Amino acid sequence: MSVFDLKNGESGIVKTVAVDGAAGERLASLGVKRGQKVTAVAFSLFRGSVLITIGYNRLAIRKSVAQRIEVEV
Amino acid sequence: MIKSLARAKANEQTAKLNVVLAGNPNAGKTTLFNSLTKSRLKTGNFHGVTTSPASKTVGGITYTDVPGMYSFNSYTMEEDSAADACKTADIIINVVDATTLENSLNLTRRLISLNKNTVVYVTKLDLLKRRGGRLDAEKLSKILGVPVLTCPAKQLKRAVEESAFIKPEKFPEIPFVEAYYGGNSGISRLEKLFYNKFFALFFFVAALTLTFFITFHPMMIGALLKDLTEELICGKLGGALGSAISNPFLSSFVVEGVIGGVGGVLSFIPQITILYIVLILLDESGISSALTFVTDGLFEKAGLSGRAAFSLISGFGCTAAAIATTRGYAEEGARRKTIAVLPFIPCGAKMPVFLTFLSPLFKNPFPAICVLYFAGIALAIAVSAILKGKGEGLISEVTPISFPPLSTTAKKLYFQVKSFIIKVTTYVFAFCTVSWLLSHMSFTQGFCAPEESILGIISRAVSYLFYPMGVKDWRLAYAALTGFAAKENIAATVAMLIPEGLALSWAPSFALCVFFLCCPACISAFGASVREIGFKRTVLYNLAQLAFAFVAAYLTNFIMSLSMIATISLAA
Repeated sequence: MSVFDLKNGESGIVKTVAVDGAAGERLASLGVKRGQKVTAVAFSLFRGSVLITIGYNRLAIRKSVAQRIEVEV
Repeated sequence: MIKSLARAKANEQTAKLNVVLAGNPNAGKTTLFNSLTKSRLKTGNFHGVTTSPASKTVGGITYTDVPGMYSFNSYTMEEDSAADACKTADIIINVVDATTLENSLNLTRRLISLNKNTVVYVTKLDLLKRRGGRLDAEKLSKILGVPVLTCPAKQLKRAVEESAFIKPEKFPEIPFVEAYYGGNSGISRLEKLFYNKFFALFFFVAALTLTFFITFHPMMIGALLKDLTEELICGKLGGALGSAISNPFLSSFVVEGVIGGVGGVLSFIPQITILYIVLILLDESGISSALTFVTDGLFEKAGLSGRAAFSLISGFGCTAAAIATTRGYAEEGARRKTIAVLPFIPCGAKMPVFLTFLSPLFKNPFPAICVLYFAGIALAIAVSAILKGKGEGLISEVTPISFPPLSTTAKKLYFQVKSFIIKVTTYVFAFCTVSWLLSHMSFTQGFCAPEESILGIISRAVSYLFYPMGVKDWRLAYAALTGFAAKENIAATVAMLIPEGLALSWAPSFALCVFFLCCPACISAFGASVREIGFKRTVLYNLAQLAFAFVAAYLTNFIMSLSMIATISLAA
């Protein structure tokens, strides 16, 4: 399942980050890496994006990118 | 002493030392820059406030503030400019947010590898302590091999000036956990509330409505203070000066022209201040950032991103400033769209304009103002949905929500209100003077009644454009013209040229409000827009907005007149 499928407040461990290019690098530099614990906090209007916490960072990620971050619950 | 530093100082006495402040977004670089150089660059509790490098030289040292970056692989234009600046630096002060220190170190290590004298300066230690974390600066400095400072900005400045940095010996084997513990990483219940889409929106609408209520309701403090100020400036001061000056010509100029015009606008200060306070609090508390996240879903459908929420909210303060915030957008299309719709958001200077036209009609203008402001937001979103263009903002950081620091808030408020006063007493004053002269002199070099003056004749030509919205007074047409230079001019001109008060009926008054809601912003905004999207496009957008404003105003007048006739005939 992806980060986007998590429920509010649910956590998972990152398995793969299938995101290329600039977006992929940005994710990596913000700490979204394999083995990290990620928690889904809330979803935006129309479920356009998800707010996650990973380590001490808080990221808002759009659906199309979030769906390519695989997690293990 | 760091070797290269000593050499640089010895060899080139005239060469300036180049100090670059680099770090992640929202680390506190600009705040530090302001402290070091006594500047007042814009800061905010938001990732992406600084969009281009800024330099200032103080005492032979050039400090450069750059946009935030995570690495040297530039994701955006701003990160590019930041990376370039680092490469030409003599000293790099790596500003690091204590609450996200671990992640920040990626950039730190990269900066250190550039082999320029790097110093780490840690900010927000109080926030770190508040959530139970701690930092051992000495140990961290040994791990990294560079000085790690947590002192107040003044000491840092002294250290830079005296080149008093001692490079520690590197002990990379020291475990990181001995140097840093991040504390509790969870999100508090209160913060979760603001990330809930329903609550966040409800809060924003409620906060704005409450603000408008306090500001505009006749029984609340905003209106009361305004009346008081107006009485003091126009009534007492104007009256005193009027009876003191015997020359009727000069008296008219001072009382009607200057006091009436400029004073009229100055009396809005209490209400503008309240609006500024709310905007600053929203920003400093981090609630703006939360709103940006929540509304991203909505903006995505309009072809923008949640970042636009930040720009639009800034538009409530000043359109030119809001346009500047779009520089950080990665997508050109999103930048253009946002700039195209920003004028629909009523800026602080438009507020006196609306009140000027609505006060004669309503004892309580509060509901009408609410309708106007929210209509502006709706228009901005609707129009951007219609315009073509890709959105952006796949990934963005969100700031923690905390109680806004009172000193920062107070300083910002003071600065913004001061700017407003200065703008009015210089710029608007000049405009009023010219307007008064032109409206009392005719082409044949004599003094005359306003209708026959130079101004009257020119404006009459323009005023035909205003007929379809039920406005036949050339003075109002002229007031609209002055608005292009600065929206503050409109209320001032009306107060000055129409001292007897407005006598417009409902339909034309509303039509005028709609006109000013949709019309292009002032020349400052024009300049900002040219800087971002170029001259041709800016002119095109402005012309389109102007045309739209006229059409919308005509329609408003038409529909309102019809419904008035319908209501009357139904009642008969």
